Amino acid sequence: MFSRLDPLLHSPLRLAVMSLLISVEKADFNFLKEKTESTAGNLSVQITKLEQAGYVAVTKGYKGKRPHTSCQITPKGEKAFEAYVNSINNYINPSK
Amino acid sequence: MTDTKPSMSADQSMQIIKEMINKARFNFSRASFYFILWGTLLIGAALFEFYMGHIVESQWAYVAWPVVGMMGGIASFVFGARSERKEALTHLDRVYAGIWITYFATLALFLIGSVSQHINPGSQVMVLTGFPTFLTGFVLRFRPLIIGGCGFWVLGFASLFILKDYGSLIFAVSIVQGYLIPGLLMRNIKRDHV
Repeated sequence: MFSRLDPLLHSPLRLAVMSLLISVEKADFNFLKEKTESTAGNLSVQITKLEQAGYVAVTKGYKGKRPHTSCQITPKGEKAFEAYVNSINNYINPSK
Repeated sequence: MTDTKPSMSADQSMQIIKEMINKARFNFSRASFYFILWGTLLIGAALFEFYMGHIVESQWAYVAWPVVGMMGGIASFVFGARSERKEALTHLDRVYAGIWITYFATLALFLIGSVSQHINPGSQVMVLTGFPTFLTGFVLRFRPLIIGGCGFWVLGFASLFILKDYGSLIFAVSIVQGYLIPGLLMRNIKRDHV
């Protein structure tokens, strides 16, 4: 029986962001932009969706005079990501 | 990357996950900067001390140590601040930072104590430096640093008993094998298991 994939994670850019954040303690907005090769506007929209779902915590502030945004996966986000990966594995290897 | 694809296959999802996790791995190239920087500075200071102390016979032989300490500290701070702006903090970065902060705090207290008691700390510093070097190599699974850490222990211990007059040169050799060579080997490394 296939479980339904989390629609919030089943999109390329949001999945990429979550995959990066699961690997690090926290990440700068520019780091995410560079690694996902996305535009600032699109990335910002997708991060906001993840933040509204409680999957990601966003901290906005300043480093020196420059605005600085950092993102961190939340425990809820970790659980959702883990469930998503398990579901994907079931699709790829249905016999397991 | 855009977000306009209507749907992804399971394989595509897995591919994205793998690709992104690979991109967020520990940055060996960044870590190598510190080993090469400190290696070069400390070798220079050790050779300067040997030249001034044994050839020129100057009483100012020790002066290179605080100078390279300040230079290395400033360069490390600037490089660290710049990297932080465009990198992420991985779980290994935190372990790596913890190891070296512990070392520098211990070293600072030890050096202040030794200098105030007029004790040459060279041998003990080598033995102490073996700890973070070995541990970093162990955590990163990077053999040159593990060997370098052992080299610090052997050379530091040996220098207590033999060739006491050549302590600065032994120190320089220990830094070449413990910092400089591992740093240079680390610079272009791309690993898939850390």
